[in-house]
Amino acid sequence: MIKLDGSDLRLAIGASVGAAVYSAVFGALAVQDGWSVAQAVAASVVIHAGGAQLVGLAALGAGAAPLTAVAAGTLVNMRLGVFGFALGDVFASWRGRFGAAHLVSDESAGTALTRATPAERRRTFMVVGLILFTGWTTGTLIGAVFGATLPDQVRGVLDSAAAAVFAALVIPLIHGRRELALALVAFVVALGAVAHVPPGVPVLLSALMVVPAALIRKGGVAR
Amino acid sequence: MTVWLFIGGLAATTFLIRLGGVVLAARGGGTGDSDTGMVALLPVALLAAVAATQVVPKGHLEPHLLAAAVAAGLASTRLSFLPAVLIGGVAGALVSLV
Repeated sequence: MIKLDGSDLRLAIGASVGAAVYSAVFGALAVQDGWSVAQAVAASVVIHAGGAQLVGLAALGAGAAPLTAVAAGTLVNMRLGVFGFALGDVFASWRGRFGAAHLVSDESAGTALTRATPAERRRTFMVVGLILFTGWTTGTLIGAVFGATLPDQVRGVLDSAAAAVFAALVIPLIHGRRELALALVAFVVALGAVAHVPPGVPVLLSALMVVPAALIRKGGVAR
Repeated sequence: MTVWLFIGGLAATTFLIRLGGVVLAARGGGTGDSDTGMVALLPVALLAAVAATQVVPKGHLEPHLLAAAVAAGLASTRLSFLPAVLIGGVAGALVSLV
């Protein structure tokens, strides 16, 4: 039984409202791209990873093969393994690990890591994770159902929102010159490749740019 | 069928990634340090690349999408995620009306 705490609930509800709006954009765009409502909601239930879902949706919408879309989404999700690792002492048993692993997200891990003791981290992780998951799937359902009934002009605005989502996701990740340079190179590589290679491949080509970026960092540390 | 293949494939890989991190943490103990080189840099490269492909769908630059991305990117340096997306969406909609 999880003991509720006011600050956990405030964190969880704030994050959940944000996730619901974000996932409503995903649901509406998915239906606009020809997905059924059931497919959009199923994606949010079983994948539960916003950036990867939108990356895959964009790749499939551009005509990429399912495997290419899965590869692109998987690369976006690599950070979730790091978040899971950083949580350390939150998971006590194998049963708990299997159940709770699905709740690992930027928000649930980030808020849990701010807590001082293992018990507090476990409680915050579970409260934020469960409420966020509920908001994420509910938002997708609302977006998928009502997105299909919106007028064409309003649905056209969703394209702008999708473009805005990725820019708003990447800018806060840039904390120094290395990340800024990497983001610019990846942007330019994708722009240059998009007209010449199959859909989905530009994103994977840009992913290769992390290799020199990481090596430059290693060199800096070694010196 | 294509969509279901994508959903099933990405669900499986995502769960394995999450579980892998959790299991490693349980065995070795987490350090709380999420800055692990390439893995930490991957989202930057991928999201920047996806942002690029969003503003040039099918290889053609769409001014309203570029406006949305630029406005949201600038706004996200000062505001949280949702207001930034809202500003980007409004900017894109305004440009598409012009």
